[in-house]
Amino acid sequence: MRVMGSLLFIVGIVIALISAAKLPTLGTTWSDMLPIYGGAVLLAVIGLLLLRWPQIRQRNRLNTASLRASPSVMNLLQQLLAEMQTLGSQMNDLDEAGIATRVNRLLESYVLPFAAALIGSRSQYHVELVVAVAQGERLLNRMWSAASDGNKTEAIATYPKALAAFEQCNLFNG
Amino acid sequence: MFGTRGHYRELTVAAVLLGLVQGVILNIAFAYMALKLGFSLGGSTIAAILGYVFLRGIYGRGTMVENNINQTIASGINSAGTGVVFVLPALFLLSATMPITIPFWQLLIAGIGGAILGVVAIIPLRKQLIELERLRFPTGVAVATIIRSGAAGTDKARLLGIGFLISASWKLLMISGWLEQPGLLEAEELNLSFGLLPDYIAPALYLSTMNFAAGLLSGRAGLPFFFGGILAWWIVSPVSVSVGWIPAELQGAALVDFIYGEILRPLGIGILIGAAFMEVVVNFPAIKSALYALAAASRMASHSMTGHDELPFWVLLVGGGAAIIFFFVAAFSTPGVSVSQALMVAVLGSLWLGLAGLIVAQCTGLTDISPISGIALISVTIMMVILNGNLVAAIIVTVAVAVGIGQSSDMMQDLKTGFLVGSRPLLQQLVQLSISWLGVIIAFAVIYVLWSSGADGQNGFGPGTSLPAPQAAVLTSVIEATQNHTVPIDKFVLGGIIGALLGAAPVSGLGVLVGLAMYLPFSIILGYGLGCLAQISIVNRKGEAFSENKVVPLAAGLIIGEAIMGVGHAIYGILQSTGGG
Repeated sequence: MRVMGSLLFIVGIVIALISAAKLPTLGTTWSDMLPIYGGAVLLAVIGLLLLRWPQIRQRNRLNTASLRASPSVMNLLQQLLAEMQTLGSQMNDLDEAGIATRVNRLLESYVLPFAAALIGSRSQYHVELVVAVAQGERLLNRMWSAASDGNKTEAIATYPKALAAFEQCNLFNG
Repeated sequence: MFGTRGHYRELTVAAVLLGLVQGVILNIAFAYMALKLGFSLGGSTIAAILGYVFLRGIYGRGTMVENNINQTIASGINSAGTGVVFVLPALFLLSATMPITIPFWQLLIAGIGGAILGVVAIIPLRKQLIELERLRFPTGVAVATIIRSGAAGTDKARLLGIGFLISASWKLLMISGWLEQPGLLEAEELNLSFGLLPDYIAPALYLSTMNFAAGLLSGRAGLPFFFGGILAWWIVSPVSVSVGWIPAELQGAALVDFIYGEILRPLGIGILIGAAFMEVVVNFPAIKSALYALAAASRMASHSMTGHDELPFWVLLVGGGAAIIFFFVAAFSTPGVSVSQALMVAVLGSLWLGLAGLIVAQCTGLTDISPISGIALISVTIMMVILNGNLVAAIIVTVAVAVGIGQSSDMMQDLKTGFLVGSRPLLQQLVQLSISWLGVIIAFAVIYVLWSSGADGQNGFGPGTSLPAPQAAVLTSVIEATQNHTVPIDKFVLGGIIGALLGAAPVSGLGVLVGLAMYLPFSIILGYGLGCLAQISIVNRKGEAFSENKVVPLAAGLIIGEAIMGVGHAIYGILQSTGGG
């Protein structure tokens, strides 16, 4: 259904574009290719419906069943929270460069893959989750900037806010 | 170390002053450049580099988030000027041939209203575009790379420097014209036909490293843009020629200009608008959630750990309301405009500005290209229809729209940079809202001075002068087409329906990218597409981490190098113009 939908959609769009290219004759608004354009648009609409249908069904299933993210994705979050708590307990003993290195590792190993796995979903649940992840990511970026600027106080002050943002993600799933 | 005494420097007097000075200088230089070449630059990259030099190097106390505030202010002032210089000169040009009195104050009020509305209309979409869709905003990423380069390790800084040197050298070579060969390499475009391929498939490559680098940063997400260009120039164009829809007497450049100007460009504008409208509809649940999150954050700010992260919702509402009143006052005080027309202009103009701001912000986020001039063309057409052909009133609204959409895309680029360096969005939004009006006033003054520098106090720019003002000349021709009732309504409507279908497809940004590809010359698309393909190939062979750590700083350097050399050339042009009379 997906392949057929894609095919109809692409063919419909290409024919619609070609037929829309013809210029109307002097004194008229529309060219004589309008019926072909209409047919092509219809073809594209059918293709679009076939493309969208599996998504609509899946969304309905999600709405009635579970809205949880996949276990592998949520595992990343659990590992991130564990790493963050370790960082929190060691942060006072680390220098600025050490904090920046640890934060960078958190971003590259957990946050960015976690965020990438959530891109594209438009359900209410995922929107809230992604917004919370983004908040945490921005605050980790701030920790990195502050530590790299040599301002350990700001890095330490930002840490609990970043942790709170990721813990909020966990609440969405719980 | 920087800001080590507890307080982390962010919104400081030094950052604001430096941003203001840089913004004013860039605004003047780029307004001149836009009148000469027909395009402008954002200025964020230059402001970030100078911010690094002044705040950290000379002042010795700068931080990354402080530099982000500096470049937000500088680019905010500069981009407000871009909207003005694409539209206002058209009115000056028309005043030379028609009995038009230029309504200076109304234009200024509308421009300032547009600047405010452009910022407040796009702020609620920050979460949608940056956090949910995670759009790339190549220049935003490049600026963040500059700001972080000092601390991101010598390896990344070296790659940034290498990219800069390659790009700046290449741009210098292009500007010098040493490589120019008639028929092969002209105006930085390489002709790929070699006497074999027909002109109507547009076999040319724009030799811009910035263009290629934008593709490198976009990767797979930018491919629909490339395919859109192929669809336009390798399918629609040849079919149109082969079935005899194009006048047979047209050949060479005239044939390409006809296909581009009469078919592809108007279809592209229609697709852009239809796609943007449909994407608002399709993404409505997500946009609603993002708006809800913003409103909720506003209410909960006093109880949360992070405090206000964004401008409160009520500030946006008040700003939006004030801008609408500005529009109404500007339109109503223009001769020949009734109360009902002024009301319609205020409401429809504001709604259109919001939608157009989203279109431009999305285009910028996906490709780094902002179709401000195309939106200005469609704005003037719509407003002339609504206002019964009242040209001056239509230009007033178009100035507001052009300034507003420039602010929308610039705000999003800067917020993306801010996200990557961990700035507080609230402070960036606050400074942009506070200073964007300044860019309007400066650009107005620049245009007025340059126009008055001509013989008899007018005609200082326009066709036949050293400042041809190409964008204004195009706008003038569209205005004349509207007055003569030769607007391509069929192309706008048919393109709009196709755009709506593409916007509803389950591929992020498909409609906007295809529309933009049809609206732009293929030589630009080809360079960008090659960048996308190169990035995909690198990721396949070396992995995502290699791309992020090596390709991103190199591409950022390529973007910055061309931008800096372009600015240098513009400044050289100003000095030469003032020196040579």
